[in-house]
Amino acid sequence: MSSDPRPAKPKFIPNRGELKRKAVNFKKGMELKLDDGMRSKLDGLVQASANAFLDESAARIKALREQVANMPADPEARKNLVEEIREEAFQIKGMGGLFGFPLLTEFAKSLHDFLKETDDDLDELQQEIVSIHVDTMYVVIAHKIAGSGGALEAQLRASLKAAVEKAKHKHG
Amino acid sequence: MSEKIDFSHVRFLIVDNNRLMGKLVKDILGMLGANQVTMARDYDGAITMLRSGNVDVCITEWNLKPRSGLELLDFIRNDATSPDRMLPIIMLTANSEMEYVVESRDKGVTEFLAKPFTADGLYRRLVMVIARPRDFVSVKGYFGPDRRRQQLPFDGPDRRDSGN
Repeated sequence: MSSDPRPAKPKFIPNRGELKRKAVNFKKGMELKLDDGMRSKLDGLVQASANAFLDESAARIKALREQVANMPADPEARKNLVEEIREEAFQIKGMGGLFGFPLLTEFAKSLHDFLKETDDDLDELQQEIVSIHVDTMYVVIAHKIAGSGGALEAQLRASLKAAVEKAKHKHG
Repeated sequence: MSEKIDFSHVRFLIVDNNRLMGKLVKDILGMLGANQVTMARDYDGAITMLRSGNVDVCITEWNLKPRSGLELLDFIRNDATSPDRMLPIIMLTANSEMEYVVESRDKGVTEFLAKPFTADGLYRRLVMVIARPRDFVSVKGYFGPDRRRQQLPFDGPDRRDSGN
């Protein structure tokens, strides 16, 4: 017998409406549909943080590159490093596109998806695939590659794919 | 005369472990006129803020450590000690895949917005939770907003008719 106290038949509870009463009126405030002027201001606000994002990400990715290149021997340290990379990939996946770097989001998502399916103790091939991703992301950040559909972006995308395939082939 | 939202009366809680992201969301809310915005970086910090009773809308990332934003959502909706089980919750997360949307919805999230987001996207979610509040449903296995969306009139072009 289930201990869930909730009813078997749906019980509908009307919204109290307190928040709406508190904030919605006909005199003061913003239109329910964002006007172009405010949208432009908000976009400007986001873009004003883009440089901070690039600087912070560049510093962290640079540090990660060095750590990945010198993977620690201690299993616990390796595990922590993989977790750090996973977290960094997650953060960049969420922020790249927001600040105008959709390619960065794409590569970070690829890395994050890859790490979601691996153990914390990477084998040689996995280390190389992670390293290729980190390097590619660093290129995007260092060169501030802001688009996603141009020739340069296509080339980077192809390079990442080719490098991953080559690593897979090398490690059998 | 059309409806307006005055954000200056709304108390927001932002829960995100990323400093830059948290600050950006706070700045966006500030530009919209909100001046009562508190921030937490993890589950425990959020619970402390919620218990203070000064929160009208919670905007949380899923990926919090050690306990997740989904656990926070579960606490708010289902814990006997929750300060407000009907609190509007926006899941703003880089866990953007459909499985996360579905899981959030099944736990009773009010709105879901995937990162990277746009300011306009965030604004629309805020309008939904504040100006278009949904009734709640309590049924075996679920407590949360009624998942049947209201059918609102749409005055834009219908893309299905234009072949796009």
